[in-house]
Amino acid sequence: MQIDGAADAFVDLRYRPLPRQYELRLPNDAAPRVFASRARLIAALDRIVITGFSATSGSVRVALVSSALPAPLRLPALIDREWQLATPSRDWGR
Amino acid sequence: MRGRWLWSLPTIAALVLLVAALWLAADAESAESRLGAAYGWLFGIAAVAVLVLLASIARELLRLWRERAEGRPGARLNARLAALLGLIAVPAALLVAAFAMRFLDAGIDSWFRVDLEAAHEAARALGEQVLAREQRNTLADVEALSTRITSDPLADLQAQLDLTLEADNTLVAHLASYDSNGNLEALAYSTTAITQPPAPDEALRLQVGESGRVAQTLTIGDTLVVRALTTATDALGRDHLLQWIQPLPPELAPQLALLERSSIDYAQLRFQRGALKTSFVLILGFVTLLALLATLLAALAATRRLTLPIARMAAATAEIGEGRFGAQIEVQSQDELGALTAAFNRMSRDLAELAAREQASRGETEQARAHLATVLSRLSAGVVSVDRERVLTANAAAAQLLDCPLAALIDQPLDRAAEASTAAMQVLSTIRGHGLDARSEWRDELVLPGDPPRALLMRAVQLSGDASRYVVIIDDMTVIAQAQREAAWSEVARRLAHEIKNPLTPIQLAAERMQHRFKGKLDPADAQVLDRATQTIVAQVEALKGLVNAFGDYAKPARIDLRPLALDALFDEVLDLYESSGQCRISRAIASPLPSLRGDRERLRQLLVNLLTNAVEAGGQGVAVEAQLSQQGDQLELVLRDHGPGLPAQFDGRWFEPYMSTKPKGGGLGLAMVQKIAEEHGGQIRAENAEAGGARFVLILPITRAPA
Repeated sequence: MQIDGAADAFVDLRYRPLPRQYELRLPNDAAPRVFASRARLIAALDRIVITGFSATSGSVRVALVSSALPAPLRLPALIDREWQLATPSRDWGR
Repeated sequence: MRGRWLWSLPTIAALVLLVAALWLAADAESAESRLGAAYGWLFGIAAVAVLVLLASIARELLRLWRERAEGRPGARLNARLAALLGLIAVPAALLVAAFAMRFLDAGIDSWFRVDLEAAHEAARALGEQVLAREQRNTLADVEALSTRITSDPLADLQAQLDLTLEADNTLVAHLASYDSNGNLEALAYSTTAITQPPAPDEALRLQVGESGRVAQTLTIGDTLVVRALTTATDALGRDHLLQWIQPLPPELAPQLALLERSSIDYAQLRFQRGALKTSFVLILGFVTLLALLATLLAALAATRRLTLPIARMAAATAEIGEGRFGAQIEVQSQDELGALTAAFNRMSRDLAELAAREQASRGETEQARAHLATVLSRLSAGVVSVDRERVLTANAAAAQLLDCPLAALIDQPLDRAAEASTAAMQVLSTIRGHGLDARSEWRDELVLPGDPPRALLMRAVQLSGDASRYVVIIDDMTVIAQAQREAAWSEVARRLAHEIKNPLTPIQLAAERMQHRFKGKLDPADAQVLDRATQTIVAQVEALKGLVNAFGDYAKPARIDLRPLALDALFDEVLDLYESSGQCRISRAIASPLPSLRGDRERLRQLLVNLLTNAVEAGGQGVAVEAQLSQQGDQLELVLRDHGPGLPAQFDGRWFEPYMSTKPKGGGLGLAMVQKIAEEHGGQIRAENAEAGGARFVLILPITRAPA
């Protein structure tokens, strides 16, 4: 599984209650990849390779964008520390 | 301008808070993320708005507390009204908020009722079973295809796929075969809805290899499909991975999609249940806070506005209480308060007019009283008003007649006033003796012992409106008799001037003519006798003329020309005249500066000349004279003391009458003229022997007023 690192990329994760399965859709996928359990989905995430990334150095930071949460969750996310998820920037290649 | 902008800050803050709260409330229940990025800013701005409102309220409360501490009018009422409005509004707002929160909580809980949840679960299970059946059917189809391929001796994959579709022309499916590396080997389809069927990736191939078959439900494009995979080994021993993709039947697909969507939404709602409650509580708290703060601020502003006219009225009332009438308050409304303000303004105006009238009336009364006091002070008769216990008023003439200070009489108990002098004691005893409320009018005569004794005529009249008050008029009959004598002397002088002066000139002319006629015709002895006789006649006629002229001056009606006059300058001038002629030696003590008085310059010059002439005639040529002029209250006091033989032992007031003189050559009119001129100017003259010897004449003249 590859993602082009030179462009903006979104990975779509979804749970479907009727077939009780998880779906993973990468950019340019015609159909989602289906997983019977969440563990398999997360294991699949580990196998994603970002290609086409030419920079020799940079930094990475992972954060929850609280404004993208469903509306009822946004206000609690503003005041609840548990929702304020963000890692520090991590540098590489320097 | 800046102040007005600052004052509008609370309103702007309240509006910001309101908009933010409503925006959040509208957005909170929406699944779309319209304001997601702005939530932080909205909260920040709203927090600033809350702070501005709190600051405004604190400022208002502080001002109210300060005004109350300073005791400003209306501050207490303002504070009471604000507290009252706060007590009404705050519990109501809190109650509404509490009930709203309770209903919200119950309302959100009602979305997750047990029966609703069971129905959802049943529907989901049903959908799950339908989908499982479709998956089973598709698995069966793909396994049947696998069997056919395995049993096909030709091992023609494409032909088997095509035959499968041709065998059932109702079948809508997409069939494909892949090798062990995932490469497409054969393909057949009877639907164009799936243009790009997904190839099984390595993980899926591995899964199929492990379990033998796999069934999935996917959404390809907009189509919900069932994907079934299994393996097959053909007659040549090659392994193949078969994939069967079949769209769900059109009668099931929409319902299953809807069921899945609602299951997801319900699960999401259930997950968001607590967060939704928190959001609504926060927004409701926000709105409640806005309502409370805005209500408090509005209450403070409203009570200030409401009590402003009352405060102004209280301040104006205090002004009126302090005697400053006429305060006006701006009428700012047309309600009852406005009517009250207008009525207050009318009352204030009326009071101001009344006060002005009362002031004018008081001024007139004061003027009348001052006029009366002036008249009384100028009266030669003494006027005293008394009641049963006290002397109420007395004029200067009364004090002079009773030989005591004025202050010893006015407003003094009768007993104490009687102690002021012997005369006062006798007069007040006489008044008491007549009884103060026995008769409305009485008169009596009283002789005061002394040298000479004085006869007083007392006439008392009861004051109208008060039976216990009398006004007593006291006349010095001695003075009246003196005035009568002066009038008689004036008449005598006038007749003398008229009857004697006319024949004097013919007598003098006849004597001179006789001398001229017989001059040279008589012998020397007779001529000498004639000359002496003629000179005697002429000299005596001249003396008679002088006497007659002096009487004429005395009898002449007073025609004085009163003008502002510097008495000190006139006094200096007359003194210089006498000093330069060597008639007397003068030592002066004239105070400076002295106010002017209204007087007739020539008449006063004659008065001064008469006094100095009297001193020179009494003390002889070169007599030492001491001259003093000073201010005593509203009078000028002129003192002339000579070092002559002094006044005769029997000297009294009558010596100011005509023809009273100790000097052999005096006509007896000098002092009479002095007294007459002094009285013409409203003054007095008195004479006494100085302790160190010589005579002392004291002239008192009023400064401000002189009788016309």
